[in-house]
Amino acid sequence: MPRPRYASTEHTADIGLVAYGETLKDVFANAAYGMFDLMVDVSHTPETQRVDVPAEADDTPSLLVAFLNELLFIFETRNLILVRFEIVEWDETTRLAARAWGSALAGQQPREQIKAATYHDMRVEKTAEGYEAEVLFDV
Amino acid sequence: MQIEGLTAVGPAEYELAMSFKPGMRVPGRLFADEELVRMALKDRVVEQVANVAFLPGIVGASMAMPDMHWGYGFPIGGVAATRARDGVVSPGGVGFDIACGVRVLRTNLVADEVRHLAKEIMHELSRSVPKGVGSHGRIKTSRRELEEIFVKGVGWAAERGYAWPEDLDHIEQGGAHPGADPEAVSSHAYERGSDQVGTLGGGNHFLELQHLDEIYDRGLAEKLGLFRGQLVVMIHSGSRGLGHQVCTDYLKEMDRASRRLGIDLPDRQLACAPLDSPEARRYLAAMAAAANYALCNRQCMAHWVRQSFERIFGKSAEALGMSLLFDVSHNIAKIEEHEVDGKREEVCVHRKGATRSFGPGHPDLHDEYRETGQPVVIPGDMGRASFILVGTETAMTKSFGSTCHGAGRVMSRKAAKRQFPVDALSRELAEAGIVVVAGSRSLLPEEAPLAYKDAAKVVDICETAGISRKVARARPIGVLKG
Repeated sequence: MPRPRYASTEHTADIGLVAYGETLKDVFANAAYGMFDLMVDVSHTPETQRVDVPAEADDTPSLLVAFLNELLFIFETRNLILVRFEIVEWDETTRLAARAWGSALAGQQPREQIKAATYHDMRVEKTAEGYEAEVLFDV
Repeated sequence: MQIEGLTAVGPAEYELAMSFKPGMRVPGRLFADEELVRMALKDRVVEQVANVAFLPGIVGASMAMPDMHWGYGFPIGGVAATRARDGVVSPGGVGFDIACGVRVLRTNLVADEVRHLAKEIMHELSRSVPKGVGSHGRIKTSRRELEEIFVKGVGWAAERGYAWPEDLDHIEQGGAHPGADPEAVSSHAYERGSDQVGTLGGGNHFLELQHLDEIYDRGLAEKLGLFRGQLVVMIHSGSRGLGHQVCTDYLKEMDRASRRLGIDLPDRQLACAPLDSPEARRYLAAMAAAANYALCNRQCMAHWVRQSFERIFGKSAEALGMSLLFDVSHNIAKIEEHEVDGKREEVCVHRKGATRSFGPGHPDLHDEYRETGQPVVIPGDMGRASFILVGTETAMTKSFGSTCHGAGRVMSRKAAKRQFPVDALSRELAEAGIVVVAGSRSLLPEEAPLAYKDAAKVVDICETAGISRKVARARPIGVLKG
């Protein structure tokens, strides 16, 4: 069985995820995918629109949080559910430029109303299989 | 009695010794009974109380109100005061939903006489108040208008006919937090805020028709214009995406500042900067702007509630007695004067899921509430009850003038969804005579009553500890959710 892209984690009031990947880039993409998948059922979301996503921070975990928060900004202001992510340029710690594909949220019932990615318990680690990252969201 | 490092020090009070975690600058203090302490120990709230005690300049104790639960950085229900002259401000001690809060509108209607209209009222309210995830408002605001909202708060709404002049006296800070600077708010935040004024949002936010079925103190109730059987309207909402963006932006800045200044913190979500630093000044200016946006948001919804009642009852809102009891914010940091080690001292009080609870005679209270103490509004879950309390003098000495903010969750959202299927939950609420209108049926189970502690127990502990006093209980009749 292939390894899942992410798993959700529980918290008293909020929700989090652990994302997996062979490379750091995969982990970032899978965390982004997981976040949208926690918000709505993305299985039938067409990839009809493309957006550019910039992010900058001071280290790898905060760069991941900045990337996820930028995606939440795009979701809220453009009503876009994004399902495919590609990091086109980055230095792994302080800045990245990504592309994301998806389409407008239309009629799906929300699963969770994620409003922000937090620094609480955030981590990005090398593992035997590759990398994994954990993020807790404000719901 | 002692439970894992916690010592009972008074009725409904436990102290967490500084030895619990090396680096704590003050002890922790939990307002709780034994059962709540045991629940807290299963959560990570005690660890978070200890972590907050690391903040430079913190005075008294790192506190948790009885609705405490595991948050991020600060616990929910957390209160921390830092000395203005050498302390810090931490955006995580305010949270993402800046100035999330509650207000109560009175009516002169007797609930039992209008209960048969509950469905009609709720559907009318549902039509007039935008709700739910990513909800867009009826008011579109230009950048210039947002700048005005940031500075004037409810004053902006009053200029446009969305407020009665006396409403401003019944809101903390007179409806506008001082020191807001529109320049301190990022373009991302402007964009998120441009069409969300007057929107309820989702999550635990709600608009409820309620019935005051129990009065605990008739004298106080009378002075607050409340009576047994009265129909009131409660609105719980915040600063929407704008507040979240302000918090996100400044967490990043503060994270940098903390590391530059070598501030040792056990959780990066506690990132902070000295109150006299440029980062802190800018954050407080942006926070005040977001807080004023939240106040304006609740005001616009209150205006539409009044209009909805006018349509249903064919009378003016004035004739229906729809005055504002009070509006409190429960995610906020404020510069206040308190007694520290026997001396008056300016401190920055962080309330993260805690409500200001100023007692009788406090100079910041409007004349109307000078004698009673500040009204405190505690939203409960949608099946049991909410409460109206007043602040006390004891709160001034024990908790930096603070009390609880709600019931507090006990169950994760996933667990609530597993345990309370939406159909059964809807049936149960209907059988209890509660009309529920929800934007997203799929999210309703997350808000199931039993996913929360009983607010009755929480406010009782606050009363035992003396940090607020019960005036009335409000049972839901109609619930509007996002």
